Amino acid sequence: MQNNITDQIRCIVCEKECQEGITVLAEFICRDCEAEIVNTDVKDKKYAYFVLQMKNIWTQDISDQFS
Amino acid sequence: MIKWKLTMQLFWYRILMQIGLKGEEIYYIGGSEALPPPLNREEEEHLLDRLPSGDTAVRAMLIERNLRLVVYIARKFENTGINIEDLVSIGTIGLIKAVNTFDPSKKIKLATYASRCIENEILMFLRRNNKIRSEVSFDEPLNMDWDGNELLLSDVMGTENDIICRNIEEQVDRKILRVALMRLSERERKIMELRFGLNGGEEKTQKDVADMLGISQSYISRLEKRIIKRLRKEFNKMV
Repeated sequence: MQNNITDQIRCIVCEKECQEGITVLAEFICRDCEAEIVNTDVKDKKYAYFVLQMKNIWTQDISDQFS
Repeated sequence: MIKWKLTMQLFWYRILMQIGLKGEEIYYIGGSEALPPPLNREEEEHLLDRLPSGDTAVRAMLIERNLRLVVYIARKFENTGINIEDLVSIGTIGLIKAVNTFDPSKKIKLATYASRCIENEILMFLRRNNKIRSEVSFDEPLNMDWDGNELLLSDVMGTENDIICRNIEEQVDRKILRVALMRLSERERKIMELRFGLNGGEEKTQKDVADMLGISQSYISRLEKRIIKRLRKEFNKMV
């Protein structure tokens, strides 16, 4: 168990310390990033960044699984 | 009993989120058995009733318990040339959008709605990706020869003499060339006209021109080089 007992948790998307948000597969996404993801279209410039950061949810290197 | 269990789980989610504790679990995209199990009907109903209240723990649990859908759908697109990591990441974005925009009053299953959102997200990404890939510049280098000269797409794709742009360019070049030629001596101009058929005549060889002017071919060659150098200088001054 990784102990990080503070009110602030590091968001896997913006990488900032935040208080409110959701935890998916033990990784934290802050409320602002979640809202931004919901409102971002694939055509938006920031979309590629979200795709990259969301990979952090999946802690196992999946390329090994498919090779 | 199920409701009590779920309430306890939600309570646990909230504690984790508040104190920032992270589990030790490792999740495998390839083997979905390590992912949290899908919700049964009763559990889903209970959570969906609470979804409109904006409870983050409810949203988090709905996302997490539907992640198997993401993996299942992403794997269907593996033959598209997009990395499975990217596909799963895009699918997860689709799932987050689905849970955030789901309207329980519409009485459709979350899994049905989420599947459409995940698939749509991946398809939109693929479409966008293909569009970017199919947009190529006319000046895109296709290949390079040993001397480092690039073969451009426009070199192999142009219309007959590139009717539009190249025609205008040629007209301008011809005009500049005519002005530059006027700056040469009469003999120099004559040599160029004969060699390159500038007055609508046939292009003549250095030997032909040498014979016509009664001088040697090597002298014509030297003169030609000098004249071209001068013309280039005049040309550059005007462009």
